[in-house]
Amino acid sequence: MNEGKPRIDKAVIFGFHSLTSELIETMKRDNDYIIETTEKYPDRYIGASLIDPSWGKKSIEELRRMTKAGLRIVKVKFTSVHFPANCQGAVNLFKEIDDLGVLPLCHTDWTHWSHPSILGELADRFPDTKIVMQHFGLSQSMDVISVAKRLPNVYADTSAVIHPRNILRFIEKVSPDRIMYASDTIRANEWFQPQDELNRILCLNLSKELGEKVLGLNARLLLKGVGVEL
Amino acid sequence: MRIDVHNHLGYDPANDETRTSDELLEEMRSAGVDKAVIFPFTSNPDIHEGNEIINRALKRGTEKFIAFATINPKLTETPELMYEYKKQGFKGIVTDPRFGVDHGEKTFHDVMECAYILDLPVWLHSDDKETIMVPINPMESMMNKFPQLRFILSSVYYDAVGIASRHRNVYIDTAVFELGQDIAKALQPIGAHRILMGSQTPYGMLKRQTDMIEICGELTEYQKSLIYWRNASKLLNIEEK
Repeated sequence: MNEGKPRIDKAVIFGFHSLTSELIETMKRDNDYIIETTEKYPDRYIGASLIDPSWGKKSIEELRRMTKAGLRIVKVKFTSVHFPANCQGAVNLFKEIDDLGVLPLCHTDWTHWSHPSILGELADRFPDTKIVMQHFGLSQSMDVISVAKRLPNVYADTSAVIHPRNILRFIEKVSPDRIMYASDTIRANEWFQPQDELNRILCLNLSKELGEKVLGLNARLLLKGVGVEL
Repeated sequence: MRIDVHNHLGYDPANDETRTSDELLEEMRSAGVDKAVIFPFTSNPDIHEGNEIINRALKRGTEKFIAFATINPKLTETPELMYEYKKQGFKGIVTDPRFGVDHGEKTFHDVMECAYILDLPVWLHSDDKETIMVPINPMESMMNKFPQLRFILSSVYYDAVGIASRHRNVYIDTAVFELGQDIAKALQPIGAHRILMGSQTPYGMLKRQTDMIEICGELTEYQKSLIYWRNASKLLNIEEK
């Protein structure tokens, strides 16, 4: 983050292992680690809980526990547990997300579990909850754009964008206020890297105003809406 | 005699629904199915609770049910669990890619080794319509590594018939065949002797499976009997009565 050009000031962080968890304790341990790390580096990290929805009521209890502990963001990846995002288990989890007023970050891909059109059903059902469709640029850019045009509570992040011009398309066809930089960093020097992901935005030579929005302002306002002051 | 090898009992967190043994027994009675292989919903990661529900159903309906236990290779106590399940009367184990362990991983092979020692058939289950994302090579390497181990391969897997045609220790179920003719298409590459009736209740229906087998004109009466019960009976050591 320090070596980024421009420097990356803050990062939303969440666990990884418990995208699919063999024990409920695994998910709790991952989430506790995020809380510890966020408390250790409060100026740099914004913690998010990671919820494996396949534990049903126990998943909801874990979301409540994390929200009580102060985390206002929740990451969900329906693909990992083979849940279609419009199944009843997903709806139950989103009802709780809606009630708690936290911000869901949802993995998207081309599958029938996490396709933007299926996640869009959740967004449509809970219009007061803003939802971030992650990896909008993976291969389903136009699908996210189609859903976001229709649903004002749908936001997108730029991680894994294959064709950077799709960021411009989102800005033109949807809004310049609902797209945000994200890197999907998992390990140092492996897979996606913060600078590589930044470069995909920088190569567009966005105006100063648009650049500020995509690289920070949009995220800042969105997080402020769920009680995270930066 | 009719035996269906693919039935889920217990709690399904994806659909927030519960399927009871009584409901399955009623459907079996109505569809004329004599025995059913039962195992938990693999959408539920709580395998201890899921397998306990199967164990209780087995105790109630020993004559009707054949129990398989769901196994998550990530759990370190898996070998001990498998020995315990065998003692309880479970006849096989079930795995699913959704637990996040690839067929080529050491932990997966460790489970297969234990299944071989215990002589438990392995149900390679999936409800994954995206099985094109499951790499086939590691799966086939595993099948080669354990030639004495018998696998039931979910027909939802991409190229399931092709995989079964290359491995004589692989059976497939009929759960996602759309048409009776799809069964006929599997006859030439693998033969009727490795096809098992599987309806995937409660998602699928027992009656739909029997209708599909009956309507398939290419099947002889003997081949139908193989798919209905003779193959399952041989695979699972069920006494003919």
